[in-house]
Amino acid sequence: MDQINESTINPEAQKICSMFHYGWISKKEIGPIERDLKLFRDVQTYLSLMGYELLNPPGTEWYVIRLKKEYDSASFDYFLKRVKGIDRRHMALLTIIYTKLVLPKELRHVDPENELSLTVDELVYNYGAKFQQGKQSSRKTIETLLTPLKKHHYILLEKGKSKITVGPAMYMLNSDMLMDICDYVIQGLTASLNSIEKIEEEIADGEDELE
Amino acid sequence: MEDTLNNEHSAGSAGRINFINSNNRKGVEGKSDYDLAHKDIVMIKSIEKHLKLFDIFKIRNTQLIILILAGAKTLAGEAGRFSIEEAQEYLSYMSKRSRDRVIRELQDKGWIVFDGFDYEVPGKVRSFLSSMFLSFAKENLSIEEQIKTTVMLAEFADEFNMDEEHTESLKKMGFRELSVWKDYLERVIQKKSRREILEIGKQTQGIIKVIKDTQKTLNSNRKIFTRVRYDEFFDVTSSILDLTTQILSMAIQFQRESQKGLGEFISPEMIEAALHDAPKEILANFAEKNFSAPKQVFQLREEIIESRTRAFFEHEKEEIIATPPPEPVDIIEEEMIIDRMQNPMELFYQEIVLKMKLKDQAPMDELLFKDIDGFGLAMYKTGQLIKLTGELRSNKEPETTGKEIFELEVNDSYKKLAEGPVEIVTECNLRRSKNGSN
Repeated sequence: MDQINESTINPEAQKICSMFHYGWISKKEIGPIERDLKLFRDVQTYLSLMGYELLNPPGTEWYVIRLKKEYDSASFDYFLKRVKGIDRRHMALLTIIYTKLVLPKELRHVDPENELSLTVDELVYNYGAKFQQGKQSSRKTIETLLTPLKKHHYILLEKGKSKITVGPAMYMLNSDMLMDICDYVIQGLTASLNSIEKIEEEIADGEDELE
Repeated sequence: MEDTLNNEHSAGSAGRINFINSNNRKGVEGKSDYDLAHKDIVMIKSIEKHLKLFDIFKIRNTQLIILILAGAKTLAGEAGRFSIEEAQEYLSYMSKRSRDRVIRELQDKGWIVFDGFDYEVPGKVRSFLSSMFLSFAKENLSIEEQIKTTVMLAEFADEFNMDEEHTESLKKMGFRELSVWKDYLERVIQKKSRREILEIGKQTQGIIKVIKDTQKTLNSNRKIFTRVRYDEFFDVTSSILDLTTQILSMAIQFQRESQKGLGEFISPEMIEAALHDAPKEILANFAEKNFSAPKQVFQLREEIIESRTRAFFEHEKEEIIATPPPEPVDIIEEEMIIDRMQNPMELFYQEIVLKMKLKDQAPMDELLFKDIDGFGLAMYKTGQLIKLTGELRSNKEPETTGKEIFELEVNDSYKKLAEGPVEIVTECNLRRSKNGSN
């Protein structure tokens, strides 16, 4: 704490910090601040004093801040209270988009500098059934669910186009997300091992319903 | 003694064989074990007539053996039916001298045969060559591929048109190999060898796929194995599956810190499969748990702090009760005094001020316990005395000027009290401070 006294505050870093008021800054706007290590460190330090992590997600055009997990419990509940029109279905869709667009970079299945995208069609085709509700077509449902995600900058989706890319708010999701999903994948793998059952009874003509 | 051993040895075989065994051992003492009716000896005997093929291995010159085998492989691989001239052509990569020698040996030992018109490599030699290379290549195959070849061998043994006993015994060898794998995986888990675990972790998906495919095939075509073999196969492959997934999760534990490493164990296909099967409630949990509100500065509200404190100290579930806005009240001075008087610290102070009225110094116990009025006793019993006296002592800040200030002098000795329920107290004197008198 002592090193942050009035005389040593780096005014440039201070100015950058103030730009984070809305959660992220475009790299175009301030340039690659990580090139100036001192400046980057200062910004990081000041933000961390307020409980924020500074993220520099590769292959994106933003610097993003995220409240550290220890200060950010139950934030979904608060968000829900204040923001109408977002519920757990949106969260499920958000997880899918994260898994398709962010996870492959984190796991180095693709070069992190690549920009990954997803079309609405793919979402509808692959996961539409999960979100199916009543008589509404799954395309309509997915499109309706995407709207608030776009509004809150989780995704970028140009009007009239169907290419979905990651928005800055996506990076505000806590980094545990990665391990949580990986753990789930492993669990699924273990569970699916039991899907092939040993046939206990002698079946007369060797017929099998599995195939 | 010998009989017992012998019987034990062939415990799994039919009684008939045992009987013959004992007879042989007894009757023809000293005669070659060649005549034993052990099923493995019988089986090997059935290929006896082909042993001439192995004569090339009797040649002393190992370099020549290599050349002969290479020649056999070339002819088996590239030639169908061929004349000696053509064979010369195929083997033109060798010197004329070696070539002649190789072709002669191949002819002599039956690796190529003449059918009256042309030469050819007999089918048994071809498959012998291929299985020989397959067997030795195993050394360099991944675990996944090794398991695959073993399983395939067991699976296709039937296709070889051999009698049942032969097929069964080939399969049994395959099983033996699978259980060797099982033991190996168990050892890897026990040793917790990081290198091996990471290596196997990368192959997990392949191993799982090979085994699952085979299990499926088996379930759909139950004629491949007899009932007992089927059970055996299923049990051993299931244990292998189990062990490999255990190893996978260990590998993931090792790589937890490195996301890049993690990507080697978890393939896009696995993720896609998991995503596809996951119910949306579970998917929602991930984003919800790791949620961070976008574009919104999150602040700790008073209620949250309160609720967290309660949760921490009382092990209660965190629950935020919104503080209702205070009711509008007229502020009356009298009520303020009551309010202040209800503060125990304030009460204590007032009490002391009252009792110290004409004194500059007094022992604490006298102040508290004389003329038992209940006050001091209550203080003492609730344990607040220590806290309050402590606060009183530290209460030297400038804002208290104007008030009467007291100083405490605590001695490291006890004092016995003659009357009242409290018997012993620490000796403590209360003194009017000079500051206060100013």
